[in-house]
Amino acid sequence: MNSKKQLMRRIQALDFAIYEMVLYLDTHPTCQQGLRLINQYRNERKLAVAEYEKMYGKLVLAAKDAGHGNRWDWVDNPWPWENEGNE
Amino acid sequence: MWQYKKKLQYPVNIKNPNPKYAQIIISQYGGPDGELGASMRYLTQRYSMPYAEVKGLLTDIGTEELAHLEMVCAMVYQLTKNLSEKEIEASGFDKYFVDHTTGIYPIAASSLPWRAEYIQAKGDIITDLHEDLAAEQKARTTYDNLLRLIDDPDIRDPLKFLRQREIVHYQRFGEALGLTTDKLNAKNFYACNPSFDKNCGK
Repeated sequence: MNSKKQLMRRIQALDFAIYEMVLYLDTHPTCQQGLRLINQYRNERKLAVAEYEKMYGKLVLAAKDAGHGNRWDWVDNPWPWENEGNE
Repeated sequence: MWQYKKKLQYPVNIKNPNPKYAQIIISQYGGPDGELGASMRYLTQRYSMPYAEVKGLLTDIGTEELAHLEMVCAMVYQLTKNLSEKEIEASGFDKYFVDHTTGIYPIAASSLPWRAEYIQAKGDIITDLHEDLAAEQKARTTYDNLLRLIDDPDIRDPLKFLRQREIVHYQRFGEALGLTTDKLNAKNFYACNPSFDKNCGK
């Protein structure tokens, strides 16, 4: 696994951790420790994305972030259900 | 509205196609306790919820279930890639193939198509949350059964992730039920229906 894939894995892991905190906070909306934790994960994600983009260009996970180059790269393969997107 | 993220919630990378496994895993897409039903159940029930935390929880778990059905479909897609006619016949996948080729259609392992009868929106928060708690356990049992039958680690890994999510959702729904009964008359939770009756509760 090269460092591009490792960084992508890290962003995926942080997205999961953030979503896990979303569900927890839904039933514990006043938990200060939970709020601290989700903000910590969000900061870590911001740093990981910045590192990724410095080395590999714009990270395109949503259509709103696509098309900053000279083509509409949103449509580029691989799509998430394909092996190539999960190696 | 929803926004799509172009990635799976957890990676699926199955190297060895296996149409036999595809036919049982597809149940967690379109079967009675599958992810399609889970998503539709929670996203449908949320409209009649009286409490903000529960509206949020059903929205967010219902959304996560969409990511889960995408993972299950990715598994079925990768398990049925590059099959020869011989493999299709020998694995018993021919009965699915004749109707859908290798398209991903929501059916149960028994081949019954997905039906709205798998879900309920009763319009009563206590009743709906009990259905949701049961649904998570039924899905967990289904993943347990799949894990009994499948030995390929490429398939087991995402199945174990999905199984674990059922347990977390069960935990959160239990908390939602606790939040709900805390707002109701402790001597009789059923005195009124807070999803329908005005001024119902303490």
